[in-house]
Amino acid sequence: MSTLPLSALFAPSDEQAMWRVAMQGDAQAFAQLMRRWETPIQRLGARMTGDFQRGQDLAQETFARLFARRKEYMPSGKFSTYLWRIALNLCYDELRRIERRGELSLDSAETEATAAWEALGTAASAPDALLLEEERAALVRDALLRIAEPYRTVVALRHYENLKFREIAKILDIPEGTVKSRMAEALTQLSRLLSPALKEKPNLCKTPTKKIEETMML
Amino acid sequence: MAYLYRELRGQAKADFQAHLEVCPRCQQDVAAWRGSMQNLDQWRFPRKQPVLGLAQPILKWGMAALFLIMVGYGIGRLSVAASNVETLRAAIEKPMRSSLRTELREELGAQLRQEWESSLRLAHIRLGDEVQRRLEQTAASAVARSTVETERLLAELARNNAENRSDDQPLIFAALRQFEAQRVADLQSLRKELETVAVLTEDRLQEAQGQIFRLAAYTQPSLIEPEAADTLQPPR
Repeated sequence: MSTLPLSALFAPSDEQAMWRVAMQGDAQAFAQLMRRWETPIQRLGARMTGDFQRGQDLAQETFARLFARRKEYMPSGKFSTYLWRIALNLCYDELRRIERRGELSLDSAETEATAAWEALGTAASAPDALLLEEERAALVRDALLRIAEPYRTVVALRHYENLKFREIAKILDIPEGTVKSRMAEALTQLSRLLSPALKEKPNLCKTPTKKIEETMML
Repeated sequence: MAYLYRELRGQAKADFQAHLEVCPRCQQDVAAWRGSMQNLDQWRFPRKQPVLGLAQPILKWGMAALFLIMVGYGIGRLSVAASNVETLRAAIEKPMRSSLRTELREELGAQLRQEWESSLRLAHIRLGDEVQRRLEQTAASAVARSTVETERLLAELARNNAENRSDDQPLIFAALRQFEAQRVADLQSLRKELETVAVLTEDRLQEAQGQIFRLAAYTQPSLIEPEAADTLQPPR
């Protein structure tokens, strides 16, 4: 038991591990990085594409690319920023491919989602709590797929991965204020898509006014 | 946004809260966004197994303990006849020690390897530096030595040259003296010949003069006087 904090003390940081990978092709250090980061990257892929299996494939691809381009890693920045960027680029590529193949018909997804959501709102008698939960998750997933990629990215990183706005700004290489305004827009769109009450009263979800922008910046 | 995700701190947070209390529009936005955030939370992934990396050492120790207990139990069962506490302990102690030893050795080995690797890397860098320094030193001394050698050779060459020159000088002087002597001799002989020529010429000149006088005396003896010029006039 006493070896636990000791080994944690000796464990290299992500940056050190990546440095070893880049300099010596250290397989052990790479395995360590994968252990630490595989799940978050899988989740990102899943949130971005709406498919958990695809998220796992994307994570694999991300680590393959990370290793292939290990020499390009500059230790000046945070390792996680570098990794998130690779993963996001792969997500975007994958979304392009999906779009070309026409696998995701967003229109049908929308109608299904909104219809199902409305049905949920009215149907008080759900046969099974677990089923209800699954249905709700599917609705959220479909709604996320409905909003534009820049918004979805910010939601995935801020809401699901709990990154700070500052970190997201660094990853996406945009001002922090833009990240916040994207998040606000994403939440507005999501509330429009997911809340039948708001859907009935479109006046309440107008595009952000100046006041709202001020709010977002805070 | 920062407020909703709890990134606001201190005064900024207090200011915003104060504003929120009096601004119905912001209240509305915040409420809508909070609703969206709650909705987003409904899409959950099945939680993964607790991180294996953290649980592994505990698991390992647990397995080792279980193994020891089983071994102890087995031995106890086998040695029921002589169920002596001392022998039992002796029997358990050995596998326990060996098991603990292997565990410790692995642990230590891993740490030592890590330290070894880092010190090796350090040594590698230091060695590189040292080699470079030595190389530079050697190169500098080689250059210095070769300069000295070059200078020595040049000096020798100059000396040899000088020697050669001093060897040649007497010869040249002798030759020059010989030339000089020859010249002087030639000059003397030339002068003698010239003098002979002069003497001869003078003799001949006097002879010719005598002949002229005689000729003159012969043709017009009275005209030996200075008015001889007139006498040369053709006869009237």
